[in-house]
Amino acid sequence: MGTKIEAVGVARPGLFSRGSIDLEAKAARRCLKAAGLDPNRVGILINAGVYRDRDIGEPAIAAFLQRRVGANEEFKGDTYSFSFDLTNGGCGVLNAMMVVDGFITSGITQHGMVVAGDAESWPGKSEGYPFRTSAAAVLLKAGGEGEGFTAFRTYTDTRHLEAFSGRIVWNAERKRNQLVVRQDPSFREACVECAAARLEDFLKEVALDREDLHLVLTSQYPPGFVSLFGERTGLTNRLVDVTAEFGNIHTAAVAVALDRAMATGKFQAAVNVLFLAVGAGITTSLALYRNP
Amino acid sequence: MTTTQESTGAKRRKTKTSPPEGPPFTARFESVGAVVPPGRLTTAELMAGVKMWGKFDLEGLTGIRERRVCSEKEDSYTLSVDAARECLRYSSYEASDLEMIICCSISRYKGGLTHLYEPALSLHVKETIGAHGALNFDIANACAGMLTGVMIMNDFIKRGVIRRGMVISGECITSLSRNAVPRVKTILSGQLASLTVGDCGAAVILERSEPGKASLTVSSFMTLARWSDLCIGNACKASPGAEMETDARKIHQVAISDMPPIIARALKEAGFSFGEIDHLIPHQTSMRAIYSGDKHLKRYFGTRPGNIIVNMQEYGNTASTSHFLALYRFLKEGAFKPGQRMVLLALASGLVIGVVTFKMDELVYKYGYKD
Repeated sequence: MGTKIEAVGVARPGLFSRGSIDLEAKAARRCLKAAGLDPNRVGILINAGVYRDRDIGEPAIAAFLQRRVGANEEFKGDTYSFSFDLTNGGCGVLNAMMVVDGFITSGITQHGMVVAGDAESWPGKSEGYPFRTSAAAVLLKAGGEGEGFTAFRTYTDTRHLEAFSGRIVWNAERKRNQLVVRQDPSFREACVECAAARLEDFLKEVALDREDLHLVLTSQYPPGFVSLFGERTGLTNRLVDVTAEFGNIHTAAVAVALDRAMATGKFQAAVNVLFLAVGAGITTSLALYRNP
Repeated sequence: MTTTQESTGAKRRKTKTSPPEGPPFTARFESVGAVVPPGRLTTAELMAGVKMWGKFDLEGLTGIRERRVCSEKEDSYTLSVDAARECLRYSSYEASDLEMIICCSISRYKGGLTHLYEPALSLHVKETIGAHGALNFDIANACAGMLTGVMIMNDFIKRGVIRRGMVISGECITSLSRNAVPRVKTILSGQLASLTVGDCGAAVILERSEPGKASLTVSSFMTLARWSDLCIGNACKASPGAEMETDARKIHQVAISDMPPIIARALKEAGFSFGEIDHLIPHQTSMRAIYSGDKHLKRYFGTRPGNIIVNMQEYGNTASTSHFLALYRFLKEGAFKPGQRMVLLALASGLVIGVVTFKMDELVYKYGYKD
């Protein structure tokens, strides 16, 4: 039994919602609305967003989201929801989906939601922050035999450990904590190289060829990654590039690409869908999804 | 170094024993380690800097006599690495045997008070300790972080995806206290609870259990999100480190009213009664809160556990590490016996409540216990 994607929701900054929590909550509500699901039935809610409003460390951002969507906010007895944050740079969403997949398989919950979104913690005060604000949510539920997610893998290659980093650093001169994002010029090539190599490893493990992949939903950062990865692997016509519409989006990217593929019918038409996220580390996460 | 982490399929290298049957398996704590930095700060020394209206006895109220504080060379990363190594010292595994590493601290300082968002702290930690093949990610769930990590890893072990992994946390959080000192003016200050925290690192290895050994029951983990804004911690705007605003009184009220039925539910699943608990390890906030909780639980259940572990006098509230610091310390002191029923009780910002139960097993012998 696999875990199936039930619905997706996407949110972009508007007049009254610009922060990470606002946007993630909006994406989560849209996702629930699209599924027509009572929020109280979401047993697990994971936030995989990295950069957040006011650099909040506790509680988990997911707790705010659970409250905003109205999922079992108070103790009622037999139904309850559990929320936490899971972060792993650009790969957090796929890692979180892997965890939700497990909880659904084990029967801990029937529906689980992964939400991701990033925003500059103090707008205009950071150094080198490259990401455009956006958020997305994916709702998962139990699927039938051989359908849904069938494999998850994560690979790390620490030759490029320092090629990309995001930190809150004390700036003694300005006397304040500041978000500092550093990217080495080699980062894009390193991401393409690692993603292409890990794709081959993964395909071997799941006994598929590139030709068997009908749709490939990837990270959208660093700039130019999607087209370069397409050229390198020959998968260009199976990739979804949302950078023209969404710009440099971070953790939500794979889910935004999924939303666009669903809107155009590409997702429904594909049998083998590959999810590929790549980010700092360099960490590459892959997941294989099968439509019936 | 290029590594692969499998997350399905469950075929790994070295195995010490052949699996008795297929999933679902059960998990147990194979070893526990904790470290505290050598620097000490007494409550009297800390409170000497606080200029408050009227008299206030923090030590009397909380029972916290002192806490450990990181030096400039210590941080969440060093505490995590040291705790992981301490845990491995009591383990029959090498770092390279670990299949999963989850770092669960609220603070992610690496290189002084520099908070690391990405790459994941768990990636740095696993590379340093030599667990290159492990799947790694970070989670955060306030003071329930490590127990949330245990919950996640327990599920991976139960499904047979992994055989063993390590849950780690390095909490370097005493900047909360330093930043609260000039801001606390009255007993009603939202930063009063920030004066109770201490630094600590802790790690625990979970492995697939076998017949005759303990099995974890992880249950009733829930977030009562209506109360998500009762305790908020974030990077401090005007000083290095972090700051935190807490409505401790309200948190206590919610915990008192909601926790007893949640514990009852968890114990039903674990198969024993409240009075049969030998050692209850609650989150270590303050003596007064724990005594008050004890009183309410006695009223609800009509009985008390054999022992409630209180550990904060020397260490303060060490956030997500508190249960495993207490477990490690009292394992080393020989306080637990095989067969005793243990309950770890999470209470954290969010508001998160969760219960982990297990029967103490041969784990005690690794820490010098003699029958």
